[in-house]
Amino acid sequence: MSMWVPVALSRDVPAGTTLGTIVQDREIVVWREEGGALHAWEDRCPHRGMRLSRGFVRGDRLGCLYHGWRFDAGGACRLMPAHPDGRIGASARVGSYFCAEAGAVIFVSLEKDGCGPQGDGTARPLRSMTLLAPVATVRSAIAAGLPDGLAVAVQQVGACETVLHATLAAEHAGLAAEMDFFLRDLRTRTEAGA
Amino acid sequence: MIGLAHAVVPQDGLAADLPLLVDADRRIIGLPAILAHLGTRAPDWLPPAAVPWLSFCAHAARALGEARAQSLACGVVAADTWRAGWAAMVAVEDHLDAQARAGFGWIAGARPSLAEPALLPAIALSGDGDIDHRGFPAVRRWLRMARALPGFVTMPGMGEFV
Amino acid sequence: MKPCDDPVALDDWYAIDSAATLDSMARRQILLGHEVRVWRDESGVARAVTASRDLPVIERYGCIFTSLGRPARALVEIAEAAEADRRVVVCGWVAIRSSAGRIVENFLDMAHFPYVHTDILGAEPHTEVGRYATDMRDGELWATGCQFWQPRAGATQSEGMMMELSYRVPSPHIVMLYRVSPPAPHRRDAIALFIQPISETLCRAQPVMWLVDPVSTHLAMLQFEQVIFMQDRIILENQRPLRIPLDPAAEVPMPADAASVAYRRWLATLGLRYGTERAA
Repeated sequence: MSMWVPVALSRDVPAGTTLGTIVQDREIVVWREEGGALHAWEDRCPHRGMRLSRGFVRGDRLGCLYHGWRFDAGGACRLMPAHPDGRIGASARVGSYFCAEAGAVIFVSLEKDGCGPQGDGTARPLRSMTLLAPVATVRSAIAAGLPDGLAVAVQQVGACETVLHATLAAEHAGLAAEMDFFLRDLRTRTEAGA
Repeated sequence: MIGLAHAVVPQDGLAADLPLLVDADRRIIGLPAILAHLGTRAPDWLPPAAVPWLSFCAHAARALGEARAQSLACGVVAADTWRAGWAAMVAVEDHLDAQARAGFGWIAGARPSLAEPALLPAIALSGDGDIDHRGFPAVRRWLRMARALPGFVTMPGMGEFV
Repeated sequence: MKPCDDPVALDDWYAIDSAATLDSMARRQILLGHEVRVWRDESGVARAVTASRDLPVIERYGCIFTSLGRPARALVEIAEAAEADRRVVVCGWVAIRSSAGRIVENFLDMAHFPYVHTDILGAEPHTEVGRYATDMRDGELWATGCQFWQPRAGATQSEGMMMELSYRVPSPHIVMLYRVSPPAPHRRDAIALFIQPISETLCRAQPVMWLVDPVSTHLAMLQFEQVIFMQDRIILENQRPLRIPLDPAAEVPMPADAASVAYRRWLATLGLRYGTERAA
């Protein structure tokens, strides 16, 4: 069974930005180098526990907002600005996970998964929408039927918080406004019951 | 940001929603009056299409500000206050997402207007009131664009890097 | 919220309200998970009680202090508070969803100035933190010989300067900063942060400043400190875990963290449990 969890639309984590998210109850930061490479790490700086999702991207490094510790693509700290010439120990590193993009969606897996995530390579991003409803409620509302051409990847974020990452098949791209209307109605229905 | 000389007078109270603008010899109190005044001085920033959005922004800013004020005072936000703040954020997200779909990057259209400063501080600081930006990608995109505007000045709670 | 039963936490003085705003209408405060009512009686004396007993009260430094236990030591002596020519700024209470230990550490830390208080207390590339000394004096933790380049050290400053700083932690929930006063370099400004733990992971805190500054308006000095405080609050509310870890292996320090390392060691020596994460 695939362990890939959708966390964002690719478009919503552009180069040079970070996003904090939750995957199976763990706080994860997804961030994209200025050159485009994507990473998913534990959302916690090993120094004083600051959320890295509040940090900043410079080139291919992620900087922690608190003291500017700079981490390379592998999660190793390469600079502590308070000691620019200092030695950096091996314990100064961030735990990393697996991420991949498919069908305009970013997926994260906490464990190595032989197969990548599944997705329609021609899908167009529509929007990510947060619903204050339990994932079971949302899944059963979706099971009742989606309009043709709309695909939704579901992410459980909390007991009463679910995110839908919605994409459109290419040939239905002209129906974006209608699909958005459907999603907003879905949101109203699922939140009302919650 | 708008290219006018002005003095912003500090106000007491961390949750004060009574900003004061001093422009030459005039003292203007309150966000709606300030925006109306700036609109007369810099009409490019208040085209007719933007005017209806000012009250939308004022309402959203008030709801988010209330959540922030409660959090600052006692560390907890009452459930209905939080829901009102969340609903305001959702309304802003829905609007900015629809604007982006129509090819517009800003609240009132293709160009930034006074609707931006009307809403920006409350949105930027919403995390103080427990309403994170993580669930609102259109808002995040708008904040990034606003930060890139010439003359944009950071303020407490935003920092250069957030 | 579980009332605190940790004697190390209980046997200390805590600020729980402001002197200037206290009147005959009783206010409900929560200290260490215990409900405390505080008011001014008919003679104007500040009083504090729990449901079952009277508490000792000290009105000083613009605050109302009390204790739920039996403090072994007197409330901190702040000499600058007695100097009549200083501007006294009582900055107001702010609630912070964090532990007292994390709040103290953030106050002791300089390495974050260029990143959290950009262009005010620090700026790239002046990020280096030189060696400084820490020691215990009379049961209080001190960090001295601290230096940092600051673009705007105070409300009067619009140019950068190398600032000399000292830090003092007279008790686990009170922390102070002394810095050379820019308008009067032979004297030091004193800034105290009084922390009221409501629970292990929720506090209120109030900065109080005694400044040598004949120029700035009260509002300018107040706003300067409030800006700093709001920026720190964002950090504090985004640190995990919320409780301060006392196990040296839990987090990775750097040399600039000497004061934080000494503070954590001190808390462990005192046996403080409330608000801390201990080794498993």
